Amino acid sequence: MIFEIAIIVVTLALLLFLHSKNKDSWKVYLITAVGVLLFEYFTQALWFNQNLESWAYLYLDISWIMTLMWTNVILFSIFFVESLRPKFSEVKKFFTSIGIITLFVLAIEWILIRTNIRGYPEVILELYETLPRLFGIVPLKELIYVFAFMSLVVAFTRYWQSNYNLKFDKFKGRKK
Amino acid sequence: MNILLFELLVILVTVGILVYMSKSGHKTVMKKFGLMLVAIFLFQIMSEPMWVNSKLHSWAYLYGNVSWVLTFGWAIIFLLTFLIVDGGFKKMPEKNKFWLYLLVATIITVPAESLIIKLGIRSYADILSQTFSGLMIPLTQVPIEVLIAVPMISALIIPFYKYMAKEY
Repeated sequence: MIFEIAIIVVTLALLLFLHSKNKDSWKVYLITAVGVLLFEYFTQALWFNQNLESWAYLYLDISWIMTLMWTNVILFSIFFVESLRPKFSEVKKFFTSIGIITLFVLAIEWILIRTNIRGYPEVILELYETLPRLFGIVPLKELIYVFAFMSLVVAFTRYWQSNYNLKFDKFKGRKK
Repeated sequence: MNILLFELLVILVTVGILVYMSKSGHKTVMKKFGLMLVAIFLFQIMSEPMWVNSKLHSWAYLYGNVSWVLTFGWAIIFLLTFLIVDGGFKKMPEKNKFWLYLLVATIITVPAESLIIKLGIRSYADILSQTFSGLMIPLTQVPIEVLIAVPMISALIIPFYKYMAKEY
C-alpha cells in the first residue's frame, strides 16, 4: 500500500511541478503513459507484477501504478535533459534521455525485485543467468532490454508530441 | 514452399521494394531502410523470449532466435504499409494516417504470419501461448491475439521510425 500511495503522490507532485513550467506537460504525460501501457500490455508474459493492492491492477498483472512509475521516470528524464541541455540537437537529447532513464530503471528494478513486487518466469531468469554481467552486477541483457524499451517509448512520445504540436522544450523560469 | 525459397524470396522482395522506392523518387531510401531495421530489431530484442523462430538456415540468424531474414520480412510489411497509405492518402495529416498504418500493417501481417507458421518457421513460446484463447483467425493457423499484438507492435515501431527518419 505504501508503495502505491508513494507512486501516486510522486505522480501528482511531478505533474504539478511540470505544469507550472509548461502547460502542455499533462498532455505529454498522457501520451507517454499510453506508450508505456502499450509496451507493458504487449510484454506482460515476460514478467509479473505482484504483491500490489488489487485496485492497483488494470488487467491480469498489468498495474497502472507501475505505468505511472515508468511514466514519471521517462518524463522527468526528458524534462531534466531539456532543462540542462536545451541547445543539444534532438538526437543528442533523445540518447541522453535514454541514458538517464536507463540508470533510473536499473536502480528501480533492483528495488522492485528485492521488495518482491517484480518477478520473472523461470525461463526468463534462466536466460538472464546465462548472459554476461556488466561489472559483474548488471545482466547485459537487462541493460540492452531497457535501452530498447525506452527508445521505443520515448520515440512514441516525441512522435505524438510532433503530431499534436506539443512543445516540451520551453519552460517558465528557465534562464535564457 | 521450402525454407530456402522463403528466405530468398524475402531478400528479393526487400531488394525489390528498395529499388522501387529509389526509382519512384523517395529520398534517402537506404537510411530509411536502416532506421526501419533498427526499429524492428529493438522490438525483437525485447520480445525475443516470446516466440520461437526455427528451421531457417543458420546464416539467417543474427543471434539466438533473432533472424535478420524475419527482420527484413517485418521491414517489407512496414515499407509496403507506408507506400500504400502515404501513396493513397497524401493529404491526410500524419496523426490520422497513423491509424491507417496500423490497419494496413495488420492486414499484411496476418497472411505473412500464417505462412511462416505453416512452414514451421514460427511458433510461440510457452510463456506466450499460455495466454492465448485458443481461437484462430478464420482460414489461418494464426492466433486471434495477433489482431491485437500487431497494432501494438506497429504502434511502437512506426513512431520510432518516423521520429528518427525526421530527426536523424
